[in-house]
Amino acid sequence: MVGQAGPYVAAAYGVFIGLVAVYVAIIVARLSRTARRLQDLNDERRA
Amino acid sequence: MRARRLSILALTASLAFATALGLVFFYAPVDADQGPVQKIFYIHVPMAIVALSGFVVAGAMGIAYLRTGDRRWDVRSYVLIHLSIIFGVGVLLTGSIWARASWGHWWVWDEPTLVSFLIVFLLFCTYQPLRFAIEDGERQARYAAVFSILAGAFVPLNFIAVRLAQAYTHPRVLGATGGSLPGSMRLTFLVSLGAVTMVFVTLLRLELTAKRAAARLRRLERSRDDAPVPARPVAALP
Repeated sequence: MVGQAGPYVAAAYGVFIGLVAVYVAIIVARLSRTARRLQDLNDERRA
Repeated sequence: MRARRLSILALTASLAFATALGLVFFYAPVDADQGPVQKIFYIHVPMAIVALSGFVVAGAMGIAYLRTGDRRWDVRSYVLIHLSIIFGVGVLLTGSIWARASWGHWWVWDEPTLVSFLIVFLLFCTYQPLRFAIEDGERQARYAAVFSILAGAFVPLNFIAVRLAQAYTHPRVLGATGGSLPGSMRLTFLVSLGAVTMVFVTLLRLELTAKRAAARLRRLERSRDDAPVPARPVAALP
């Protein structure tokens, strides 16, 4: 359907999806680190 | 409750984006002039609109911070600019890909649309170094708010400058009267714009949630460090 333009069109949409995926991965990693530290803090308080 | 709302938002944004992709590749006709490469338009232009709107809204949040002194507005402004810069990277990359496919060049310096967007992008790239060069939290937030207002006001100027520019080598499909897009292309464009906006809002909420959680953790750690150490029973010597 997209012929010779295929790689360009795929690259453009890939840029968007890639940026979003990397961004989500970074934020989720940060959130899980925070959750882990919160858990440690809770355990510390309970001890 | 907040996590549930975020999940629903993420799911809706994913569905909207999938619908937009379906329309782009299976519904919108192939452009008679540019051919299939014009499909890049449906991701490039919505990203540009959302990124530029993000910069303007960040300025409005800066005004709200200066009026109220509420740090939540400062955080929102910061996250909006941060996300808009990331979308700006996407705009520059997809624009370059489109330029290469259409004109045979990755970048064209005499094209006002590209250069003016680059200027706005670079202007906002100075936000973070400027912000984090100031150590005092209150001053940092105040200066950042002033920056976001001034730079946010510059964005409409970029738009007006491009509209007034004479060298129309850039594809011009959206005019003041609704443009020259046929109905099916316009519908696809509007759905794409809605989908990209929803993705942006979802990411914004996600980062704000992460920031809120990190702030809560810092408060808890501070309260733990400030709390008086309870007297421990002295262990009896053997």
